[in-house]
Amino acid sequence: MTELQAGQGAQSLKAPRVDARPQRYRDVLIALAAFVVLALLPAFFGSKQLLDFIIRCAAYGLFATSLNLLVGYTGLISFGHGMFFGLGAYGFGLMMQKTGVPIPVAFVATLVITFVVAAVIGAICVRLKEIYFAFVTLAFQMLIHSTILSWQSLTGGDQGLRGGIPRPAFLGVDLSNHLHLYITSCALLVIGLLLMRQIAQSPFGYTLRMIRDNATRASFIGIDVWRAKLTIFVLAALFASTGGMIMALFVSGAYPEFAYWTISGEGIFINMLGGVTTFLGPMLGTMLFLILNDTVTRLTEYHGIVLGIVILFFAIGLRKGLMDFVVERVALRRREANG
Amino acid sequence: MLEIRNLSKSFGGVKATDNVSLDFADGSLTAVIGPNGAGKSTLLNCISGITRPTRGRVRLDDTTLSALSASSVAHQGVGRVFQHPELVTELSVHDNLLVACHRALDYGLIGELLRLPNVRQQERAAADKVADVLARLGIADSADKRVGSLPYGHRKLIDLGRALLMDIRFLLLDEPIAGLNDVEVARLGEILLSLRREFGLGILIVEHNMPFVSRLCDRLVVLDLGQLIANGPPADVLADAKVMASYLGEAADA
Repeated sequence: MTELQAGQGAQSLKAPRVDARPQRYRDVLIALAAFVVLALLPAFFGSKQLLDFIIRCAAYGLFATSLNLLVGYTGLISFGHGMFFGLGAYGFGLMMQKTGVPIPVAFVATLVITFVVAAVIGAICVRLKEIYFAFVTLAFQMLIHSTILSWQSLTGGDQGLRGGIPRPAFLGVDLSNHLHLYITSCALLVIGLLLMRQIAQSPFGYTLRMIRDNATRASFIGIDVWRAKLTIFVLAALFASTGGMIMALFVSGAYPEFAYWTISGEGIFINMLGGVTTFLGPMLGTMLFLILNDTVTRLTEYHGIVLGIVILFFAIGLRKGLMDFVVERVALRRREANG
Repeated sequence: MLEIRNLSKSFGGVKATDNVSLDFADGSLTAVIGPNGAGKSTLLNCISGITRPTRGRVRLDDTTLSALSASSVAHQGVGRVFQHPELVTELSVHDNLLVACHRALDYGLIGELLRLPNVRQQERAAADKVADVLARLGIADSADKRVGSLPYGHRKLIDLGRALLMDIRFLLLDEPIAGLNDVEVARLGEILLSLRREFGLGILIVEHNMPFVSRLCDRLVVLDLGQLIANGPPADVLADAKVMASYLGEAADA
């Protein structure tokens, strides 16, 4: 069978199909607008604290959103996604300290390293079923963490990469300048989110949802499930690594905690807070998480208890993330308004 | 030509299919019937690559399907539609169908992200193919609706549409009319006949509804306890005493 030309009847029956492109342009416009607002922010609010908060949002937001590509879109519950955050931070920091290459070169080189590592780890992990996938990704996370701890001559062991990361200016962009770092972080966040949005709304993204719902059925329509899972695993790792690089630039160093399993745990926590059924859920979750973390640690040393209670409230009380909750309420309101 | 030769599959000590040999010509419309546990599903599973036969093989022309994975079998042109459709309910009908358009969408992710001209061209071509299939199935006006909002009968048609988009040569249908109303059943019958007429699509149906299959199909294959007990035109098979005893006697009300 060559092509399903439906013949004479088709022309008149053809649906007035809305092209997918307007939505893409809309996403680009929203991203541009968001970037302009973020970039203008320092002109009105000089507070260093606010800008620091947004830089951290960029680092954690890219990480958490990329985790949602795995958890929410593909149904791959990774408990080791934080390893790529740590890998990004250490890869970038070491490259800058040891080689002195320009920042964009170190950025791309770190992405290449992440790509290779994620491809190898992913090739092993994505074959495994649910709980085993979670365990083995966690095991790789611990492997990378203990490598960082024990390879003292390279990584500085439990002290982390100290002495600061050199940040030479490149084409007039000087990342040791706080404002430049802020703008760059915002740009990376917006570009990263836009790319991930494109992935989620592409035919490949639809394929991921199909795999999440029923992988066996997906293979019956000719989808190579293993390949698709590996592809998204590697892509998500690249965005997580970018988040780690922003973090390394922000603190001018890299610490073993960046590669510890708690980072992966925080990623899952953020996704539960914000919700995994909407694209921006993890971004909202990131902001909530960082605000919670900052205020609670200031008030009490038992911040773990408070965060635990909050997550229980979301998991048992709402049974969904905040963004899911908001979206559902708005939809309900709209339906009621329409009669 | 889809050839099944000496196909046996055992699960532990149970022979789900036992030395079954069958040929399905291009453009043939065959129903596989038999009581529960007769081996119908195992037969389909072996053809579509989800189950490895214990002995024997399945060939499509010169390709041995029984050595391939389920996704490769689909790429060879054998599509399968299940009793219960599994669609992504949060996506539109159009987007659900796009998932099956790999042949039309042949580009890398980088190209996709950069929106290269060939990507746009291919996406337009894929959208046209989807629209054509929807028109053929008579659900063109549902293209932009969310699958979750559609009735069961529509979802089964979308599931069928997804298989058709792979440019298949053989279509395996698992209980296609279960859960459909009379109008939908008649419509499905017309669609299957037109697919066969226009594209020479070979169709294999596993179905319990005897009036439906005997009206539609030009051949009935009867399995019982994993063995082939009858194979021929519906009128002849239905006259066969063995078939009556093993199957129709106990399921005359189906």
